[in-house]
Amino acid sequence: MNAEPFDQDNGYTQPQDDCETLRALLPAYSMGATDPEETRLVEELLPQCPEVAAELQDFAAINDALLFAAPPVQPPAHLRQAVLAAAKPAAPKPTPVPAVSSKSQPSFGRLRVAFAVAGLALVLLVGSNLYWINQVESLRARERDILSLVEQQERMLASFGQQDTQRVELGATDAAVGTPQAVVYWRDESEISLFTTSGLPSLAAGRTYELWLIRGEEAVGVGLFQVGEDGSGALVFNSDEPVGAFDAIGVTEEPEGGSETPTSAPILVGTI
Amino acid sequence: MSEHPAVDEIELMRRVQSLDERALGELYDRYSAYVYGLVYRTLGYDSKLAEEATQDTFLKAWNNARQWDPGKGRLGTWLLAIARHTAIDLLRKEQRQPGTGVLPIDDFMESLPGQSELDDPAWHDAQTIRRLLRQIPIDQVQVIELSYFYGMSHTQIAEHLQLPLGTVKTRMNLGMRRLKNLWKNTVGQEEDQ
Repeated sequence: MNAEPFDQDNGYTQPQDDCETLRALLPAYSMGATDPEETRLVEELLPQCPEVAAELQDFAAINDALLFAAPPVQPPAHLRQAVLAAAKPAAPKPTPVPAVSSKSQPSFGRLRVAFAVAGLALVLLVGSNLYWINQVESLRARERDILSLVEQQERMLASFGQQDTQRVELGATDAAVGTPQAVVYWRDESEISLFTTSGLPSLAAGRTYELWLIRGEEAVGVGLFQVGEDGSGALVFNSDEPVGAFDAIGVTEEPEGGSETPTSAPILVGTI
Repeated sequence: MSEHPAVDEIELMRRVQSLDERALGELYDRYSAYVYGLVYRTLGYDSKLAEEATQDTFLKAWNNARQWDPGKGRLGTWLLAIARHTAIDLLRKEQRQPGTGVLPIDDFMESLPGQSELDDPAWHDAQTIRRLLRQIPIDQVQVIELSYFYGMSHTQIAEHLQLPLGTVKTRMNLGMRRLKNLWKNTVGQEEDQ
């Protein structure tokens, strides 16, 4: 692609070659990000620019790969059963029993009423039992979820609790509000590390915390995070090199979406 | 990095297409963490909505199993595409803004992959794309993520970020092209090994 086809305010700087226009819109089109007019334009130009159209396949491969960009997270344990139950076909409705003609029956009015009342009582009793059985099952399912979360957390902490897990504690700087703390855990053979924090204030809309790995004058942003109402937060992050290869770790407050380099003084810092 | 489904995926889906409920369970066991992770992120880490989207995804896969074409790509890709669209539809229905919610500490996978993950092509794809995204300027990643994970158009992203429309378009174009080149180089190297 040669000149930048877009101006700051809206569309194109000057009439562009149609195929260059298509080339500029193709990535967004592949993700469904084009506005309706742009979509119409792309679909009109695709047949006219076969070389550019061929790139669509490359962007389709990227879009397929991006599906895996979100870290996997184990769903609650009860969800599996819910999915399988929802997939079962509905039970067939029972065939209605034909009514008995009153002419063939002697007049047992009172007895019939008694049976009806007894039947109603039985239905109510069974219904009540089913309700409480469902309540108990629901509570058991929640208990299983909680145990699953606890087990998962324990497994994760155990993984980081192994002897070769390293850690560094981050302390608050003068720029911090209150007394936030943080810890980073890593293992040299893994490119995945864990950052946990407490005591950080919630940020206003449009702001985020960013975690940095620092080496000399270089700061590498490794992730963005928010904190809950209790001031705690966590981040699992990837880095091309083990955390131990850097000199320090820091946290700054940045605009939403993060920054390429820190734009404010660090709030938390730890020396590796 | 193979784009072709493994033989066991084809066999699994054959059984799903035959309405084998155990096969649905196996499909769930294999991909639920990826599906839930994707929809969980899109829906602002709202677990209730993420459960709804996850259940809807697997039911759509169950009810439309015959639409999976092994000649067009892997099973995980097909399933996650359903998940992505399901989550974006739900996000729009709930009128949620992207980026809300806090990532709970309890929802991390174990930090080190087990042997089953190391054998799983999906795990390797996930590691690769996350590594490549770190090589893209963050302002370009931001617009890519808003489009891809939250279904926003150019205009919607410009309004959300309070940026000129042309800036958004440029960042998306440059970011995706850079990502495409990095991906092609990476895939080319892996196929050479």
